[in-house]
Amino acid sequence: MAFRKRNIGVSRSPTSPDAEDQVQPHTAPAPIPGVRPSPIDGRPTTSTGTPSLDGILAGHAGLVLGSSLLIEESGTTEYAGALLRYCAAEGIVQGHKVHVVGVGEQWGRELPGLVGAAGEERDGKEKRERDREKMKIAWRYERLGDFGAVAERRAQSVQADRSGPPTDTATATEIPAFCHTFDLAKRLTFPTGTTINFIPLLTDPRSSPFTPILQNLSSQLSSSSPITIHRLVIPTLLSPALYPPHASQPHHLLQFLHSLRALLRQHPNRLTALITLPLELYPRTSGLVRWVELLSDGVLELTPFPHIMDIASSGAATANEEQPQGMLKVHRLPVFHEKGGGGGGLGGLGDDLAFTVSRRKFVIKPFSLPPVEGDTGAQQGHAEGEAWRRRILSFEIVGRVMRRLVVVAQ
Amino acid sequence: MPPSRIPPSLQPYTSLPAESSLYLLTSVLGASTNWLVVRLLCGALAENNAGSSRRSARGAEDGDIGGLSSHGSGTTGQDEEGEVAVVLVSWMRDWEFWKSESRRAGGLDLARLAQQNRFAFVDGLSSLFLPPAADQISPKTPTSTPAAPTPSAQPLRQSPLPIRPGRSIPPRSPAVPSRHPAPVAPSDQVQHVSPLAAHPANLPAQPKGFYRLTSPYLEHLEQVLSPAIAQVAQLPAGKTAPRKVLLILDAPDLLLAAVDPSSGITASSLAVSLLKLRQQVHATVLAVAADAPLISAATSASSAISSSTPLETAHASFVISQAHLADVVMSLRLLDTGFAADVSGVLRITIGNSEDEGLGEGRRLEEKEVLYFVGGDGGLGFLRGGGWREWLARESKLDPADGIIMPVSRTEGTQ
Repeated sequence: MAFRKRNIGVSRSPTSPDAEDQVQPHTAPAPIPGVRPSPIDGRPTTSTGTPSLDGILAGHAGLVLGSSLLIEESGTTEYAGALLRYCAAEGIVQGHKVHVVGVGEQWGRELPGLVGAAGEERDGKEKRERDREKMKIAWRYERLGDFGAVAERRAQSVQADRSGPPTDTATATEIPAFCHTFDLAKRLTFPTGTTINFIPLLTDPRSSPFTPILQNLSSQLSSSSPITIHRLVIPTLLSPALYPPHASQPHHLLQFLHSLRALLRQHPNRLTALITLPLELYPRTSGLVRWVELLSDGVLELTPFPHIMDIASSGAATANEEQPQGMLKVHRLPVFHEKGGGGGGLGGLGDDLAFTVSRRKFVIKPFSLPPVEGDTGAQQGHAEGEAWRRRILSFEIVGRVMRRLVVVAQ
Repeated sequence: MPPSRIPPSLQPYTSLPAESSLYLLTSVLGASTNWLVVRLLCGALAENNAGSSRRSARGAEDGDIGGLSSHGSGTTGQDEEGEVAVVLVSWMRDWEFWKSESRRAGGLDLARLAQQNRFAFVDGLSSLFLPPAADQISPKTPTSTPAAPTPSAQPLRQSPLPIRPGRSIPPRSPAVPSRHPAPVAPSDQVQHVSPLAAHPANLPAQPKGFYRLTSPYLEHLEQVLSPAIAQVAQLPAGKTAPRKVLLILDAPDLLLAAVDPSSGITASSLAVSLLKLRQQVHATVLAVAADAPLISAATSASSAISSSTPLETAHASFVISQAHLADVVMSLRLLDTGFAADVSGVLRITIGNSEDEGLGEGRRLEEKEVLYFVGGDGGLGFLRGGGWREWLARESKLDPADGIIMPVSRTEGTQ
């Protein structure tokens, strides 16, 4: 419990300068909804609306405010769009101000509907199983949602055989939800008074199509209350369906992104940006896209599998799990890489990550070839050839077996 | 905070470069040069601050050639020759970042050094392309340097300025970033430079040492930088020699990429501007991006298939030409073999031509390739080896029996 108190103390400090200047100097300000301090260094973070995406952001367990995230996607699919919608919906639910660039209001009407706070909605067996897992995981990790699949996995394997007294999970529920679950098949009902700010693009070929975005955004930033969190959502940047051809000229696009970076740095506690970029027309091998990446704080790449069938047929052991729909590559993470960090260990940077989109969730988890009964050693050795990877895989197997045992016991 | 936070094997490279030399730092996505820039900052600034432990270490390393080195972080007479000052120009990162990073990694208090005229920061991020209306035309000007150092009462990463609600938003009619017409640029400069010079005086916490670029044009860059350099280079009280100024340019290649082609900024004009700036300072450090897509235009003959864009051509030509000019090239890249938990990337140091000319600083530097690791807390560790040994380095986590990589004490230096 000592931990928890300390965390709350940290969570207040980021908000206090804002409040202090404004309303009530030196009284305890209420925490901003949807913002919590990073477990690493206490910077304020907000949820992307996707718990497992929060989990891979270099251990911050959320998107650090004042940073941007670029999600690239190859192929003709729109998985990244799902992430954007979750992000926008999460912002609406938390009362943040959401700005969407380039698309019409139809986009806003199609936001996924709210199901509940993340972790509450699981039904039946899965929920009970989840609760059992919760008791084993240190509550500290549990509170952070899927903070670091790695950490969770470690905690699982360590705690599984220790069987200590169950921690008090009730404490976690007092904290307002940081991240919610949405259903892509439902429609979000907006809380009264919330609107999305749709920012149109300028189509005049003589000037930058991005000009209105910056103007609109900075005027909104300066006219709103200093504790309002703003989310800028830019779907399918440079897509010819939305953007005029001259938008891809470097001096338009890069100047915009540079200005956006400046805005993010000027408002490090109030603004985040999520951008998706389809890679088909603008491949990563082009200098332009590389500069777009350099100007973003975080860069993720989604590579959907071309043939789902290949994966589905590869093992019976995963029959009860959802098939991954593609790989997710982490090229850069906010804060972490800016400091010069690299290397794995944090948030599964070194892992091969796969993503699975279903109606209710977008799950990012380590990708591993499924073990086949009776031939595990040979197959894993063949697939990976690295000793530590083998070890982690064996942890996974142990975890899987434990989970089954739990289910059987129930 | 002792300067020994820089690992010993890196120290010769992070100390003040020899006179008129050029260091080129190259980065790729995911292996940024920020930590290296911070180390160079610390190496240059901490040298005078914190005693002579470092210098004596160098002296021991150099043997008895104290009289040989007439320049640089010489083993003798640093105090007689004057202090070192740094001008940092950053196009990609803000003041808060550099301040907190150098405080954490090197124990440097940049704000205080700026007070002492030993450090100047030129902000190329905040207002370069952003319409200046919100910050500079509004009546809020005195408090509107978001990247300016704020009173130390605030925590490090806090936003120095919560924007006041109800502040009138000035109309920003023509200040579209991409439409700076070239002829207007000179008047822009005059307008902006003078408030800048006067402006910091309004902030008691930061009276000097903070400048801001408001236009991407090279003339403007020179106009802003010259007073900045002059400011830090002026004769310190009680000293006989002017300060040596180290100029650090972080991501000047952004100008090549992002500026309207009609503005006339080309690889060669940028190089010319750099040469002009280099004349005014003791030594220069350039940090640029060298991702494969950005320099492949210069290297691959196969690019005949896919014609490279002007952006790529300009970038490649700039980086390659600077690399040829550079006395030391420190290039960072990711592990070729993928990720490892305790390796951030590979640092490759190559020495330019100055070695042949004798007596240069380069004589004492050797080329090397090492693995490095930047911890989450800003700590820095080095592994020996590189290249094909990367694989061994990864394996050695489980098989420390391997003798090439030092198993336990392989991380030297900090924390």
